[in-house]
Amino acid sequence: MARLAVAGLSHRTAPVDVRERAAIPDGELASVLTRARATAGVDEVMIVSTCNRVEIYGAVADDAGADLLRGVLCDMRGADLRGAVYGYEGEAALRHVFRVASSLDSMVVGEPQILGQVKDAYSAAVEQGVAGALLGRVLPRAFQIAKRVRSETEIARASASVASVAVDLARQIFGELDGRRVLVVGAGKMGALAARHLKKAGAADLTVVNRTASRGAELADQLGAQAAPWEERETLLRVADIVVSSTGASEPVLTRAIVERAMKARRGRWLLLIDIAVPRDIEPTAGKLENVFLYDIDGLQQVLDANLAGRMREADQAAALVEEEVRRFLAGEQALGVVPTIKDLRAHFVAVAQAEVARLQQRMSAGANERDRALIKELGDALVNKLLHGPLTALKADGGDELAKATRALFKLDETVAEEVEAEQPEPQKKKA
Amino acid sequence: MPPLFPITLTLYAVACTLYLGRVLAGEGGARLQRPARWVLALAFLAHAVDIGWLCTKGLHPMVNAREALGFSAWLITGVFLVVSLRDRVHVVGALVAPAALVLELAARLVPSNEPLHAASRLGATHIALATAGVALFAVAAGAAVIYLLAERRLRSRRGALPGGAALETLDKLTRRCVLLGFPVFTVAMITGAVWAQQSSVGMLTVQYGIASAAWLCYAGLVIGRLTVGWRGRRAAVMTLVGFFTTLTVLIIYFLRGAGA
Repeated sequence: MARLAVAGLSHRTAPVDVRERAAIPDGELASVLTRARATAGVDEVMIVSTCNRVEIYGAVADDAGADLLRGVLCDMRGADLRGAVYGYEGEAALRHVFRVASSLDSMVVGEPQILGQVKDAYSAAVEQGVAGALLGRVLPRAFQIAKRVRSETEIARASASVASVAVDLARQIFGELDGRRVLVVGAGKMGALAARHLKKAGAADLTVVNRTASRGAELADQLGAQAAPWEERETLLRVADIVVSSTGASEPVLTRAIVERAMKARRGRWLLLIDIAVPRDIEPTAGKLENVFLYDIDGLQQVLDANLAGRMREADQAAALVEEEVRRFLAGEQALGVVPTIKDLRAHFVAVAQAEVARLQQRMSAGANERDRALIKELGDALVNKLLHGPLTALKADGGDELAKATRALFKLDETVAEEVEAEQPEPQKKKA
Repeated sequence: MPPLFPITLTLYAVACTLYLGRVLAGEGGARLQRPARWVLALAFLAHAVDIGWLCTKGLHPMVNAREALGFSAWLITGVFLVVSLRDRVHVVGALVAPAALVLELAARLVPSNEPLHAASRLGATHIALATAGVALFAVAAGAAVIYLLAERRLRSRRGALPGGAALETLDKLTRRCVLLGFPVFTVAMITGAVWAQQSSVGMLTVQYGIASAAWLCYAGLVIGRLTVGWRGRRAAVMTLVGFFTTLTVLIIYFLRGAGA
């Protein structure tokens, strides 16, 4: 019987340059999957390749294991990766895939992208025809567990990036961000990212001011914002609700005096200042003004650290939930192992009963009516059900191989099945039809 | 005792526990939000039935101090339920529900042997308006307390209050309640002054002086909000000063007994 195994490397075992070499480009995925599936002992295969992990999952023969997949990965992506590659099989592999899909193994625990990436990886394997029954049971269950972890724990609640923290802070001050005005000062990458997040959250009116007007106009184009001259920043400050600043200036570009003047003109309306620049763009004392909330990069990091600490606390609860699901899945798999025995045992009993009922019905006098014949058949069925109830319940409850083997030996089920197969062999075409 | 009093009290206590649980349990307490609101709404309905029953017995909310207290608990709950329909201010419920519970309990503990204003229509009007004004100010004060706590957390980078509303929403709620409560309170002050002059006992100078200070505080706040654009921390502090001054008047009223 095939068992689950995984081999791969991740941010935990390999630095980014190694992960870059191991990563499988989208264009190559189909051919890599086909090659991996062609390896002897690999029944099914799936590859997850993201910026933080490259993993190959497979259903491998019992005597093979994670080593087989480790070899496949290193053969395809470079033998020098071997030191960074980990491998799990059986229960450990199952636990790993559940944890990965639930974002418990991610660099930022609780981040939502990994679930989509694992789903894409599974879809690619299915499309390529290299995923089978085992992955077909494991992966959908992993997706369900990931959903359960997200809904039953707070693991993904708090923001986990500087840009999303900026959005959270804006929401804590203004509530909904629909129609809020955002002033982007400078054309720094981080500022642009925060502005994009704010726009996505509903802020509609974005204006970019930059010393170099052409770069400002370029960023404004990218953001779907308007560009304004650098000199207008003080005027714009009077109407903006949120300011994101990330210039390369060595001196503050928004001094306390500028903010104070703007606040007078604003009649005290709240102002959120996000200063992502180093050195800082906004004079720190501006944050002391009434209804002005100033967060520099350290302040944002402080919020981020608190959020991440909260996620780690939730991760323990999520891990317990994953463990519970691992046990449940394994119990289901065990039960699945005795299904053929249960089917064969029932078929054997039914065949014996039917033969005996037929023999008895033949011996019945010609005067016996249909009702008597039906009663005899009913008696046969009832006996089968009563006699099988105990053994079948025991088999289902135990789920182990030993009891199944003993049952097969006791009732000579393998011989019976072989005889049936033999008896059916002359008419294979008929059966297919 | 009103027939539904034990049920009303129990419902207020459950709502109180749910709202406090929502705040103390952090983000995990979000699931308590909806049941808390429903239980508080049920408490409000049960309380309304009790007030109606008391009215049929001649004990309307303005007849004495205990009924006025119970009525103010009901009004505070009603004001909160209405304002929280529109804005996400569930966290204010963590103050409103306990306040309603304490007021309703106190209403049954206050001695009832003082049929104070039964004979005076003006006195009853004064008490009714003052109770309504104080109920609105109480909700405003609750929102102001939450505002100050939330602002403090934001400034110290400790994140939002669990279930906390946005600062702007809390400020709007405070503003709305004060702007609505102020004219009501003003008329209550006028009717109170006239009624005290007309009644045999005359005006309580200290009590009326403090009430005037509360009125001045709210008047300043309303003018500041409407003309200069006061908002945020300053407005929240002013709201609290006004409310505690008003509360002082009520405490004196209950300690000395109106007209005593």
